[in-house]
Amino acid sequence: MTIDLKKYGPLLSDKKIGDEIYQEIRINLDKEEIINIDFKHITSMATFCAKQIFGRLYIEMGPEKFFERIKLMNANEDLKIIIKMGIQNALDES
Amino acid sequence: MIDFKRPKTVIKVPEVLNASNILTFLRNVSVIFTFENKQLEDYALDLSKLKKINVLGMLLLYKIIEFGAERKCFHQPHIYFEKFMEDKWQEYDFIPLINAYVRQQDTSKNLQNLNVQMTDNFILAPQPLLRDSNFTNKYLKTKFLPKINEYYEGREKVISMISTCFSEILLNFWEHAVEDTKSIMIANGNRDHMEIACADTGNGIISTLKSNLKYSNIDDEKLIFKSTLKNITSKENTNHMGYGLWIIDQIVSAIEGRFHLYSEGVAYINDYGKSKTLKTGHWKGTIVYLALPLENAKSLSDIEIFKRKLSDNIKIDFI
Repeated sequence: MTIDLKKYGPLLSDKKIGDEIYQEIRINLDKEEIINIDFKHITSMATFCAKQIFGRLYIEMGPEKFFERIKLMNANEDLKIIIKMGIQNALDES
Repeated sequence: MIDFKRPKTVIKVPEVLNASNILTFLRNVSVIFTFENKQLEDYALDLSKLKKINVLGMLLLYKIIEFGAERKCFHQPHIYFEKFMEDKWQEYDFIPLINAYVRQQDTSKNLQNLNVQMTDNFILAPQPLLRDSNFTNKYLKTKFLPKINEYYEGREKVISMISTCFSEILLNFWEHAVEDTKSIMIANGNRDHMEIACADTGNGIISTLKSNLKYSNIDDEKLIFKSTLKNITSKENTNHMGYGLWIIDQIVSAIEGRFHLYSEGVAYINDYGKSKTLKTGHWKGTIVYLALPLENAKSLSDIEIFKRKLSDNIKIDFI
């Protein structure tokens, strides 16, 4: 299944939205094996949200499961960097 | 000769009020932060000498007037200004706010009517950044950001760079925003250049960082410098990474723009890639100012430090 982040965008920059996205992914992980997350309409994301969503999921799921089950679609190069920063920071603290 | 009509104490605003001339202003107005609930009489704010002002100056003037009014610093204060200032208030859409104070109305209602003006230049009228504010969120998403995308259509790096700076500034101010010390953001720009200013009169970055014991004994000037480094946050072991100001500082250095941070008597100034700290007049709260030249806009992926710092061990399936 695909979660289109359009409804949250184009800027992901507050805690409430970060929480909502995390919850939507988490709920769907219980029902689906693979979750595609579509960033097509997302221009930017605060590092806070990257850690809040993807850092948390990466720690909870572990690297292998995260790689197998979470697919990040249409993320621009900046978003890729921000998501990596969020995960890296969560890993550094875990 | 004594002029009995003029108030005894006049707080003067200098002729030029922009990012290069903000220190005199901060020094002159710092005393106002000590006047809370004093309702002092015979005070005036003199703007009549002003001849040049930018978004930062407009915002700080507004915030100091707002602080004086909301915190009951003065009883029937005077403001002296000339046509120049009246025009500027009109241009930046501050008139509804100023009128609201004069009539003692709820200013938040007036803020909701503000729009983005798009001509050759664009102006983002002053916006409150209130915590849990659906209005602010909706405004930015439905009005401001689509206009930015439209204005800079085809210039992906410009849009990306501006959006990254906005994301980090918004999150920082949203997270620290307190209703009665409204964080306000204002911006303007054209094809070549964009300026963004945010300010509040709440807990400044220095007090906030010092609430973490790790930073409580650090000298204020050193601390404001530290706040621009990676991993510096008062809220460790949360989703706060302390990356926001560091990212902005790196972008500004890479494009030779300007990034100023003022808080509680100290400042961090990055002008065109050269940074310094200094002592200033006291400002209760935090001021952030960004000037972004857009000709050589850079996105994060163009800046070496962001690529270098990332571990290749993180496994992510980007498709």
